[in-house]
Amino acid sequence: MAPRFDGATVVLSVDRLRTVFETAAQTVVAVDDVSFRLHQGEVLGLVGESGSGKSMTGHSIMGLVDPPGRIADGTILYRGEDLGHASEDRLREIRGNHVAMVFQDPMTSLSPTLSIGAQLAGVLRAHRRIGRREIRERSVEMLRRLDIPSPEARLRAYPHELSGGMRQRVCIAAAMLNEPDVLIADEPTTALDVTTQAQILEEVRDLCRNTGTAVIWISHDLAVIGALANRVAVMYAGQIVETGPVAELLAAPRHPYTRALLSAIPGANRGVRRLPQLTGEVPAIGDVPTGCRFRPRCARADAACEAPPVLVACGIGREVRCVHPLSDADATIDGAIP
Amino acid sequence: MSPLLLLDEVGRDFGSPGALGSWLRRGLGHGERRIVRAVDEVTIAVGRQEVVGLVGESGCGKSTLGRIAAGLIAPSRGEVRVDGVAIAGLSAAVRRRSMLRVQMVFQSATASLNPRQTVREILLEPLRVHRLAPRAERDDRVADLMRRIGLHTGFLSRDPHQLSGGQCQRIGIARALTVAPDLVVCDEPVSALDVSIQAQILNLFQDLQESLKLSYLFISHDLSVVERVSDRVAVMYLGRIVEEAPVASLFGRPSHPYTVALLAAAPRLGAQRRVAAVVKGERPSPYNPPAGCHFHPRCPRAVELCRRVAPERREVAPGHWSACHLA
Amino acid sequence: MRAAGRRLPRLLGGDAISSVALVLMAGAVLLAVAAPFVCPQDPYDLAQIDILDSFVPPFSRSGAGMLYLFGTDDQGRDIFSAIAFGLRISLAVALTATLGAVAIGTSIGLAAAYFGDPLDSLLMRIADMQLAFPAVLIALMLLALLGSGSDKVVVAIMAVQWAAYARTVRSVALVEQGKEYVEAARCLGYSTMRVLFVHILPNCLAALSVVVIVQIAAAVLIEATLSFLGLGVPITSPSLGMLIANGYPFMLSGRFWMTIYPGLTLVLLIFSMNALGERLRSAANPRERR
Repeated sequence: MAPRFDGATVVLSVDRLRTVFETAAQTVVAVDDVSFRLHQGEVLGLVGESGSGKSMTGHSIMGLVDPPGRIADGTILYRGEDLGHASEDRLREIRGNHVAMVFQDPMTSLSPTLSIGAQLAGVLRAHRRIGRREIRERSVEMLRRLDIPSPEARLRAYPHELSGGMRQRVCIAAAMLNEPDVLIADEPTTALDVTTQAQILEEVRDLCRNTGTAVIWISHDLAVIGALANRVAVMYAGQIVETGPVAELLAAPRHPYTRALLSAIPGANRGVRRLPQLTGEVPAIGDVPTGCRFRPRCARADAACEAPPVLVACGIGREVRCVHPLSDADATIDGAIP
Repeated sequence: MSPLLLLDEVGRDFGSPGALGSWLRRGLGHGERRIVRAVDEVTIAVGRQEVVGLVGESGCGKSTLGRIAAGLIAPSRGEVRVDGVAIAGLSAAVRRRSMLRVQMVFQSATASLNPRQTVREILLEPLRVHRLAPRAERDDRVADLMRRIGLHTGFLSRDPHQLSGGQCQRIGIARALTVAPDLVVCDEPVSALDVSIQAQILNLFQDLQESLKLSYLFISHDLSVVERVSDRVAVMYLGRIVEEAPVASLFGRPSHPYTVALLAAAPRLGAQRRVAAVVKGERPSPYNPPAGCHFHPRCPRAVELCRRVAPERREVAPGHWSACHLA
Repeated sequence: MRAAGRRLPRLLGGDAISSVALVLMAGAVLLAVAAPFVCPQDPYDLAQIDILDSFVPPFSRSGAGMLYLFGTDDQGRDIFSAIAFGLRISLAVALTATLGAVAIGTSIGLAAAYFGDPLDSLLMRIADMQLAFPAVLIALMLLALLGSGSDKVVVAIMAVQWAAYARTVRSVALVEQGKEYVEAARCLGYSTMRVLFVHILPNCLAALSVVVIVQIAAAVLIEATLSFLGLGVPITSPSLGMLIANGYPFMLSGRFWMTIYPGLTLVLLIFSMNALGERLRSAANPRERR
């Protein structure tokens, strides 16, 4: 049984987040009306296909949205502190110390010219004074916790000398060094081999359980999320369309899109000759349909879907953005989509 | 009857520049290069209308093997036979012609289309170059291909950058079909696509296989994808095929410890919070593979023999081959 | 070419320097092309030259009322007209040489990239040797061997410039041929020539265009240098370099205009080409794009 976090401290609270990209020609809404709460020690899976806004949500929380993008609306509270009104210095402190991020490509955050040890030391020194010996001890300790063999030797290595999986471990180590409250992981295992991915998933899960770090794990892969997260938010075309505890949501999805995603996974439908498939493609951001954004691809769509749906509660801790949510009976993923 | 495609004991090294090349390199002060054995004496056959899946992690040589099969890379050792005829023995013109029967679909759908050509140019070019259809019929042939891959003919005038990843992959498939191949080598054709698009393309592959009576050599790192499309599956590790079996047998009764580890590591729905059975450690460098069985340093069952002797392929069940001393 | 077409408006809408450069270059090319029609005299038609009008300072008028905008030289030749006709020769030589060098360099670069070692090593070491010596030095040695004349200058410039094109095309082609569309083309049984020139080459043109414009400027300079030294174009069809050389002995006697105006033309031409090349480079490189 997945643990419930209702009583735990809320470390991060995102409310009605809206991130837009403004050019002279048009305004494109990349993230629209995204709200969630992240409790201490919780792993929230953010799932969606490309263009769903899942990555941009992570970047918005970190304040890493580059112009012409900007956060147009909504609040991001870190332990009750509004990051939208925090000073640049305070933001930098929070970013390094309390909220950390890991990216899909480790080389975006590792410097090719510095040794691993120097980069980890930089992370530790950035936010407080710390002695040389302690830096070394803590770096080695963190590498060891991520199952990196002979960590002392690795401190002298340069990123190009490490394999992809090792580099990603180093990135996670750097992010976790200051024991942040929140770790935002943006598809960190997508580019890795399955055996390496399985190792890293497990290491991150154990590490965060021990430190009490809450995680936002962004991924396109529902199976990865299923293995890791406590709670899931499914995004489509910039919006959260369904959210809930992972086991219940995967077992009985309420939103037609969630069910379609689940049934499109090749391994989910053994014995079915053709995969149930969605027609059409994810709408390009900037070209989203009016009303329910999934409407053009949805078999259940009717006139009621022409008005933009809102997130409504549908069970304990569950919400869905659909006027025709699925019931338990038709939520089974074995049947092909009508 | 000989299989449609037979790779007979093929091997491929990279980094060996040949006699003249190595003389030149030395003369110009480059020194010797390190040699990596990307494919290490592999035998695999694809029959008519058969789908053979090839699974493995990055760097295991599966893409190199696919390119050898498609005639893009010449093997350093061994033979490629199409319908029993050794390709290496043919004259250049005949070889080019017979290798048209083996086409390829690539991983990066966008990069596999020439950005300077429109979709129409991409699909017409093979017909023109090989004079495959009378001039008047070429447009019909292209329109027919577009119908088969499920795209409107309005896409013909587009540039590749105006297409989505899924649409690009459809065009890539159509291009491979222009020359009416018997075998299509699919190198990770869906791994760069979104889940919902992945399902569409996988279904397309299945439909085309049936309607055009195609064979596939289907390369993927994703076990569940391979399981869906394949009749037979081969698992590669560090340049060698470690296990080969009919799909049900391989997924139901995996024999090689590496296959077992791969299956355990793949995240699957409904298998949440499973107990870890993942292999430890990193894949060794292909420049310096371990002696004996390549998998022994990571293998939970390795014994002394595995460290010294590379295991031969053995038939552990009818049609089920495994290269493990303990199988 | 289509991509270049899309890039052009951004070039025009770019910063002030590149706008000025574009105007200057367009002006120079126009003047060179239209020289016989817009110039007050044909400086090489002896019937039109009046020796009595020699050494006339700028902005004077001839007996017939013609304006000597930039003055005249020791033979009474109108400097403005001489510059226009000189531009014509300079640009013609530079463009012809560039065309040849591009053709040779591109073929060598493509071949080196496509066929790889040992051909690649061999060709690129030759290119290295060529690039290791100053271009003018090599051109001088070649002209010493070949003798002077416009055609020899073209050959000399081609000989010193092919390497830059070969290197550029090789490096871009190496990246391009790693892309899967090249493999797809080979898989479809296209001939090597088709793969090289129909598939790889068009995708190298954007990078090549940047080099071409800067190299044309260099070609103009080499030609001017050779002509200044008396090894270049024949005396009967003076280019910019020769005009500068012709006026040089009179510089110190106060007749500055014979050298200054052709020199200024050359400087502005080179400047505008380099500025445009720089602009094209940043347009072609998305990381520098703002």
